[in-house]
Amino acid sequence: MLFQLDDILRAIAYYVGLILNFLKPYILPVGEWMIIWVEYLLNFFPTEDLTIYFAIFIFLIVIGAIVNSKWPGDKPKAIKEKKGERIDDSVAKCSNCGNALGDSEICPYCGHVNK
Amino acid sequence: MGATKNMVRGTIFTIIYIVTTLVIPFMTFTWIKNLGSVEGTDIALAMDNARYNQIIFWVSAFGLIISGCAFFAYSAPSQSVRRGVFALIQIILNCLYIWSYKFSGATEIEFLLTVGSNEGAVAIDIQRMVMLYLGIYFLTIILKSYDLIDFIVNRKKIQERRIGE
Repeated sequence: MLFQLDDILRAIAYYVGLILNFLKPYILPVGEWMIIWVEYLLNFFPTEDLTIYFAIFIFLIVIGAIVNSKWPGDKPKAIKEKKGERIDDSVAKCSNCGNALGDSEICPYCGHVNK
Repeated sequence: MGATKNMVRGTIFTIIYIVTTLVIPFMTFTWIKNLGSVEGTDIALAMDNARYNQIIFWVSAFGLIISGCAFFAYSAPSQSVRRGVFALIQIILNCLYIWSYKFSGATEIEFLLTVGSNEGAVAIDIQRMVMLYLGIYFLTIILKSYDLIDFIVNRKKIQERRIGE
C-alpha cells in the first residue's frame, strides 16, 4: 500500500509542478509585487515581545463572543411572530373541517359552504 | 440557539488554526533545531538559536492573530459582512505569515558536502517558490474581496433569504 502511495504522490507532484510551471510567468510578477507590500507591512509589527499579540488574540475572542451573542444572525423575534400570525390568524378557515379557504366561501376539501 | 452553534463552529476553527499555524510549525522548527548532521555524512541540518528564536517569534505572533481572526470569522453567520471582512483580514495575515518563514532561513537552504578530500556545496533558493505561492494567494485575496462586496451589495437579499428559511 505504501509503495503504491509513493507512485500516487509522484504523480500528484508531477501534475502540480506542471500546473505551476504553466502559471509561473503570470503568477510570479504578482508574487514579487506581493512581497513588496508584505515587507512594508512587516515593518509595522512590533518585534519586542509577544504580549501585544496575546492581547490581540484575547481581544478578538472576547469581542467575537460578545458580537455573536448580540447579533447571532437569527430571525428577528418580531418577524417570527408576524410570520406565525399570518399563517394562523389572517387565513380564513372552514368552520366544518378547519381547512384553509383562500378567497372562496366553499371549502375545497369538504365542500362545506362558509358564510 | 444560533449563537451557541456559531460559537461552537468558531471554537472548532480556532483550534484547527492554532494547531496548523502554531503547534505544527513550532514542533517542526524545534525538531529541525535539534537535528544534528545526516547520519554518515557531513551535511549539517541544525538551525542556530538566533534564527530559531526569530522564526518562533513570528510564527507565534501571526499564529495568534490568525487564530483570533478565525474565531471572529467562523463564528459569524454565513454570508454576513463581518465574516467577509474578517476572512479578508485573515488571508492578508496569512500572506504575512508565509513570508515570515523566510526569517527561518527555510527559503535559502545550503548544504556543505564533504566526500573524502573533496568539498562542495549545494544551495537551493526556494524564495521564488514562495513568490509563486504568494501570487496564488493574491487570487484568493481577489476572491475574498469579491465575496465581501457581494455580501455588502446583496445584504438585503441575503437577510430576506435568511428570514425566509
